[in-house]
Amino acid sequence: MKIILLFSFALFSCRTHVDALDKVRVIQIELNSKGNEIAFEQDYIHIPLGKRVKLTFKNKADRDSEITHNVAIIKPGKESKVLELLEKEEYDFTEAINFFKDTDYLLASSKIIEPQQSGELVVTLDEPGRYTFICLMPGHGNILHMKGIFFVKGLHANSFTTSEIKELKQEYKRNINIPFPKHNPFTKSKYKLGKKLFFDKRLSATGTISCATCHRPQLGLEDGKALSKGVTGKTLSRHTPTILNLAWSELFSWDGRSRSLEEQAKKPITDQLEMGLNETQFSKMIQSDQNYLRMFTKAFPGRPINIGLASHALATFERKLISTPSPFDEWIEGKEDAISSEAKRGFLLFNGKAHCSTCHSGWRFTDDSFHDIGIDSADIGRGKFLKKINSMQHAFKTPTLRNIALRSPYMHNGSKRTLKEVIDFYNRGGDKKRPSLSSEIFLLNLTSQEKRDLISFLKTLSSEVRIE
Amino acid sequence: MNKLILTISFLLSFPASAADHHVFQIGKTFVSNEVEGKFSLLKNGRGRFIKKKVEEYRLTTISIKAGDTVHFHNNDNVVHNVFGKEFDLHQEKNSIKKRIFHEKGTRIIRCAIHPKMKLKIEVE
Repeated sequence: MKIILLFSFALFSCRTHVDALDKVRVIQIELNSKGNEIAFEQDYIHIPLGKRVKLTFKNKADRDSEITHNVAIIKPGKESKVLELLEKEEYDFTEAINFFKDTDYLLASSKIIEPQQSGELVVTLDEPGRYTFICLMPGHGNILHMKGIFFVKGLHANSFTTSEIKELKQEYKRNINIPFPKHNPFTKSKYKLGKKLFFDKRLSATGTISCATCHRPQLGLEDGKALSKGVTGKTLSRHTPTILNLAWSELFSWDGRSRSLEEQAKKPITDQLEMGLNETQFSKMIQSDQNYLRMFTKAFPGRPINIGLASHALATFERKLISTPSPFDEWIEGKEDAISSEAKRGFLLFNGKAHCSTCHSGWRFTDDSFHDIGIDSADIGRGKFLKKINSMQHAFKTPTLRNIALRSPYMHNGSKRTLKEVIDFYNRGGDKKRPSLSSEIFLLNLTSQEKRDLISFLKTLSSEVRIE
Repeated sequence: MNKLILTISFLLSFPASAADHHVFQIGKTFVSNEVEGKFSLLKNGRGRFIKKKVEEYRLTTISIKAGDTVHFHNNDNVVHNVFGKEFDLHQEKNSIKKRIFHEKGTRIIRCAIHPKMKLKIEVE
């Protein structure tokens, strides 16, 4: 292995250039320490195979903090050996070179880097694998985990073992035992009533908009518009989210404003800008329709009819809106030719290099979490309800990816028109670097083939929305 | 008999010393400290926690005494952010944050990022 090692201490910091990575010979990577914390800003960095990597490390601790760092790159498979040495009582960084001189554990190591100073390493990573980068200062790497991994390309998409792939596929098996809450259990009559209400335009003040106007079954229960208009004709501030597979969800709407599906179903109906219906109008409409009166009495015997009760029926209906098996599910169930080889590669990228499955996990492809993914918009999302929590500013709920190919445009504000735009956005680590930006968002260094593979995979998640 | 009552009241006048409780955060779930030392059994070949195995140790409620400390161990490869009405703990990967619960009562704490992570803390 050809190793080129350079040390230099400069007070400038380099930007990471990732455009057309396949064509460049030298890749510049910027790695920083996290302010006064004993940590690196990044935990993973993906690097294509066989490139010369120029790593600039900046110690971002305050000048008077006296926190010094180092950055070293460990050869694949040697991390535990290095950690063992660091655990030795007599370990001292100034003597580090002696500690490691008889070993071949390190690929490169910098000198001590003082606060606000930078150090540079140049290495050629010409074997695929995981290379740990670590701070060798006593306690930093071994006790406080100041370390991370360079994934050298070739590892992720191609190096899952057969048993690992089998294990991974298990995590995506459909589980469709719908949980209904104790306070609103399933009954057929409630479901039927909910279905009728869902498609009824009289649920809006103008009689022109039903739930299904924005949640169209043929468009993955969205409406294909970046932003929609409500009864007043005014454009709403957020893109219509899908209502597919919500039975298992926690906190509803883009900003998690509703704690239950019952609470959620009520909000658009009564919202002035959305459907704008009030109790009087609702009551008048129901009382004039014998059919509704009969259905409400059957579904909720003896209960006063109001919008709240209607939303219980709507929630029951919505819990049954489950995606039907898609080609991806057939593949998970063992039909090897159900999806293309591009899509299979895309699935592994999704779980590996592209880092998607950290949030889009499980068969619903969401963990119902909230993140600021770096969309350039003033909307603070979840931050409206959790004002003091930094990570919740500009945070929005992770949507399911089921039927994602039918659900363009994307994001809470509908600002991405195609899946390609979405992948490009994640690939560059988002657009807006704010303090609230999720630590799961970073440069991915995807090649154009990898992007195409990911899109092929995402397209296998489409299936018919069946309403019984 | 009097001596016994005296001894008991003497003992009761000293509050029991505050205890430490350890709660682990694994696979975006709160789990009990029984998992300590068993991490490798819960992980797959790539070092990721297997949800089904983690579920066996899921913790939904803990009972503590007023003044006790709860240590939250984030063993996940993601950032967590446990919060309650009066506190907010930003937890980096592989970090431990603690919180002393002084007031009696039951409260539900959540991870702000992963709202499915919920834990009921009963402070007696």
